[in-house]
Amino acid sequence: MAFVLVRIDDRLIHGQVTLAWGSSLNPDVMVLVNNDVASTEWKRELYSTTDTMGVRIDVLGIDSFLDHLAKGRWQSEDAILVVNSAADLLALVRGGLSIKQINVGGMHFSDGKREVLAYVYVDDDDIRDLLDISDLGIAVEARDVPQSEPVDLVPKLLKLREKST
Amino acid sequence: MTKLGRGIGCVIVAHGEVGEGLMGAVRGILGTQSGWRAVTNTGLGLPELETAVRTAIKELAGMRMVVLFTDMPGGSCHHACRNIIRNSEGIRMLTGLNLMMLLEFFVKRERVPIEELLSLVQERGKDSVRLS
Repeated sequence: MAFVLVRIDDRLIHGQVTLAWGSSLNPDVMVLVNNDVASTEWKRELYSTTDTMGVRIDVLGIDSFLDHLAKGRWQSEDAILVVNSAADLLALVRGGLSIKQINVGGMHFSDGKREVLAYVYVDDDDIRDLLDISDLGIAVEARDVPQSEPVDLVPKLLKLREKST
Repeated sequence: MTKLGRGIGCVIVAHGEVGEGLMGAVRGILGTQSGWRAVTNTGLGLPELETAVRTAIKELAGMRMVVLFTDMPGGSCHHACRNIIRNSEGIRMLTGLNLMMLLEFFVKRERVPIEELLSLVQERGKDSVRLS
């Protein structure tokens, strides 16, 4: 059944993902795709030993993920996929990841970012990348935990884009 | 038939702002939860603390069962609760509260029988203490 949740979260795999989404979706595996984590031993170790209530974690860089994806890995599993930026997710989608919807779970404030929701802040690059994802026919929904109401980000992003041009 | 955990409430009885603080963390991670109260021992003697816990339990009257969480074995919160559970049916206590115990409780409370729930919460609490 492949990816039951595809999430952008700058904290990558953490409590909301393992506990809230994990207990709601009961995945077989959590797939963390991030070049920095995959290539830095202590970060890789940190995420690989995260307490996931018994769920396996796969940590891969973008290219390696796309290779494995093309070979059909995860196709018979329920997987939660997590990346930490809209740019990375766009790279995955352009590289062959086929999905209908993404979940934006955490893009937190840093300098120059504007508020969309309490847990979603974006700069112009984020807006462009998220709208590019939307243009590929993928729903872009914000929702921090399953209990929250989902929010369609596209109208809000379009409004922000108008303001900045 | 096995008694399922549906309708299990909890009262956190702890020092200072520990109870409200931990529940703030639970809310951030799991979303808003129902069926809980936090009681602080700040400014309360043992009899007053016991009364405060009993009041909190009464407020959860709709629940089939109430679990008390206390933060410190042998502390005043623990003493007050021990006296309450001594003669009460349907009230259990877990001591040595940490965040992982509460998360496990709220995630699993509607999914497993009560005795299994208590044991899972206890194990999760112990297992979350690690040295790096």
